[in-house]
Amino acid sequence: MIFTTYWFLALVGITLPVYWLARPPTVRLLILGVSCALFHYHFAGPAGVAPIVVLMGITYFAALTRSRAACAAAMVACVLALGFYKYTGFLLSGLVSHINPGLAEQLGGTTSELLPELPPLGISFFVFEFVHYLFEVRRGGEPIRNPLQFILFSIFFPSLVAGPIKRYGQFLPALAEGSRNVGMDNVAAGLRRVGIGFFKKVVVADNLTYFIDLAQPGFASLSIFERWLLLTAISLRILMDFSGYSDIAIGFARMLGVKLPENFNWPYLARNIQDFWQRWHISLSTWIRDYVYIPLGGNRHGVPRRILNGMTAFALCGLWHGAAWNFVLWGLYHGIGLAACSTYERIPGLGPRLAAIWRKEPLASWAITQLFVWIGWLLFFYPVPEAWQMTKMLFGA
Amino acid sequence: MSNPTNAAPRTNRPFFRPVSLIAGLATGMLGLAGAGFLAARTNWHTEFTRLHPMIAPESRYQPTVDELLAMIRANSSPEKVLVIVGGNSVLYGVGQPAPVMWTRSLQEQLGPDYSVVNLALRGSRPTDGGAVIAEALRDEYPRLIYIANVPPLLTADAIGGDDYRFMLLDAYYKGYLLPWEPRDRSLSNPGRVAREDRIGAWLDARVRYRSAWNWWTFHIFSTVPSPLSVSILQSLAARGQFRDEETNIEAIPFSQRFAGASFEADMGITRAFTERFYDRIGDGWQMREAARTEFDTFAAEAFPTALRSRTLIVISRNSPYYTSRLAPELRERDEIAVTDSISGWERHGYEAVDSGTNFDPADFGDRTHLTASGGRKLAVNVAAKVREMSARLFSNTPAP
Repeated sequence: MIFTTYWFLALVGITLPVYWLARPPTVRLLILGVSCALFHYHFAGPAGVAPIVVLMGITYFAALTRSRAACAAAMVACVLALGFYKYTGFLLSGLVSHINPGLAEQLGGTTSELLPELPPLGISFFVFEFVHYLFEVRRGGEPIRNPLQFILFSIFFPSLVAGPIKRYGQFLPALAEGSRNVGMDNVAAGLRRVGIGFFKKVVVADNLTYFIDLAQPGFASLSIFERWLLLTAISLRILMDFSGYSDIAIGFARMLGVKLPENFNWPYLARNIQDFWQRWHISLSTWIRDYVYIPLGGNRHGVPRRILNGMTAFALCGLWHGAAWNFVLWGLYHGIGLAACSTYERIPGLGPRLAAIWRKEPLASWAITQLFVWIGWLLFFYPVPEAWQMTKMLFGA
Repeated sequence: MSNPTNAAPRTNRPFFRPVSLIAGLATGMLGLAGAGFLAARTNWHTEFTRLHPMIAPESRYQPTVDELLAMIRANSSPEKVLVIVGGNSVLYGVGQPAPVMWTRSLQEQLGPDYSVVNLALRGSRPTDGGAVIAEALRDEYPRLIYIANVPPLLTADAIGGDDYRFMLLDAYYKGYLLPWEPRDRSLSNPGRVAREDRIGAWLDARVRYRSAWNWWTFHIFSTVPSPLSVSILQSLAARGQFRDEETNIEAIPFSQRFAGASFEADMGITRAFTERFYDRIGDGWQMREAARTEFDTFAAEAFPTALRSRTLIVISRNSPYYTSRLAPELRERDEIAVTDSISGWERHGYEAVDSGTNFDPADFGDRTHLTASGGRKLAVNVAAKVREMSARLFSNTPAP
């Protein structure tokens, strides 16, 4: 994890005091810009920085034109870049190879020469933020004219690696406010948040990871109770890991005086799937809603179309998490859950009765929601056949 | 009724005032450093036998150089000849319970004028662990001998293996090591040692957090679970609760020790033991030039020149259970390799000794590890060399 490296802590240890001591906001933003560039270059390397710089250039200038066509073209370029760097291997091995193995092999040989060993650091986040920005400008929003502000929006180091996914309309005022008025209260609030994040990530999640890695290969030999305990550990681990990371990002941003959007809001207290997605990785789920689900038609064209739109959005959401079929299925699994959650009340007879039960017994609705979510994590972390076997074994099979 | 629009906006009052929080954090960091410096000077290994797995990297416990120095200072007087045993699992005494481990026999052989400390680590190279501690104590214990083992002509990285390099970096950044160009060059090469590891060691040399952390792990509970434990609670238990519980390989009946699938694999290793170092020329064996160069490079870079005369390299051998099954020419090759190794190490200023030719198959628990009886024989063989070195090196060195 980048946030636990000494290099990062040294960068923060130098950047923060210099930023605080420099009073003029412009100087502070310049210091932050240099720090962000150093961060990006150090952790992404030249091969990881180059494509992002190109995308930044395309996005910046396309938005400046305010041309709908230019913005659309830039969005396509960003999405293609994401597809190329992150999904080429998956498309070839998971799709093309089943249709035309010869072609897959040929394309695989060509692309392996072009693709770096790893996708550019944070490319999913970059692309989502750029698409959001271009989409909003295309819709009539004001483009960012100041290059420094655009650079900071693009490579703001606290949120560069794992979000939260920023919205420029909120970020730029927050950045300006931070550069003008960062104070002791910001620093203290940020420190608290960073401390909580590190505790969640390093103490809870990393140790849970260790136990999960140790116990999971012997899942079949565990007792039913131990299997459920392991599922709990898996579910807790991803929450602590991801929300811990978000806490650290939000905390460091806060120490710069910048308020980033929240990413988690006690998701394991959710009482239905809709509620869960309003609490889990909020910046991603709202992005998917605003830039995939609603443009596809949202809920404006009847129930079947709404379900289809939801399924498409969630399949993409799954794919965003990783280039493999199990992530797609995990997304679809949640899409089905959400569709069921939003339509079951319309089932004559059964629907209203079920709804009445959930209203009367909130604990039951909570339990069934969490059961659904937690079992879904098996699909997220393990290949589909293994996840299916594990699910059956949870129930004694 | 008050007008709500005129009321001051409600804000969440922080639990701590910002100044208190930041001052508390700074005090905490400083306090932790203070605790670290205090812990670094304290010996908490009061029942030390050797670096058993629960106080070694296998269980994700990384002893600091300071804590091992404190342990030695508490147990060994500088008036004695300090014998630090490094090397790998053979010198660690795998298969020998602590009361009968070979270094106890070595201590008995050498007598009260010597103090033997076993710092061998399983799978380590001659320059790992014990070597670092021996170098760190070179002035404090002017009468010090370091012992490590290595199979004939085998070479290794002069900056040790990845698993144990933390100790070398720890000593390096705390200023315990002599300047030694080949090593310094390797340690500062980002391609050889990860930048993160170097920054961590550099930082810890200034704050001693790892000492505080290890003290806590040893006495209170471990924040990092041990992969060697069977239960969650045990994996987090304080490491000081664990004793050296090495299994007794002698308890395994001889007929079962070399049986099973591993026999053929071990036989294959034994056949190829020195294969890559020699060419068959006529009826004899000739060392390959590449092997000689590799060996010379390693021997020349492994230890600073000033420490070589007090460094004893024990050349390990395979169990006669296997070597007796080799073709005569392969046995001959192994013998030549042992002789070449000893002369090679000596040529570079080290002391070297054959682990011995007086072992029976029953002295081994497997291909390489000795039983308690084998350990006693090794102790006799090594003690003779240690006494000889001591007489030669320290006869004019007064005790401090």
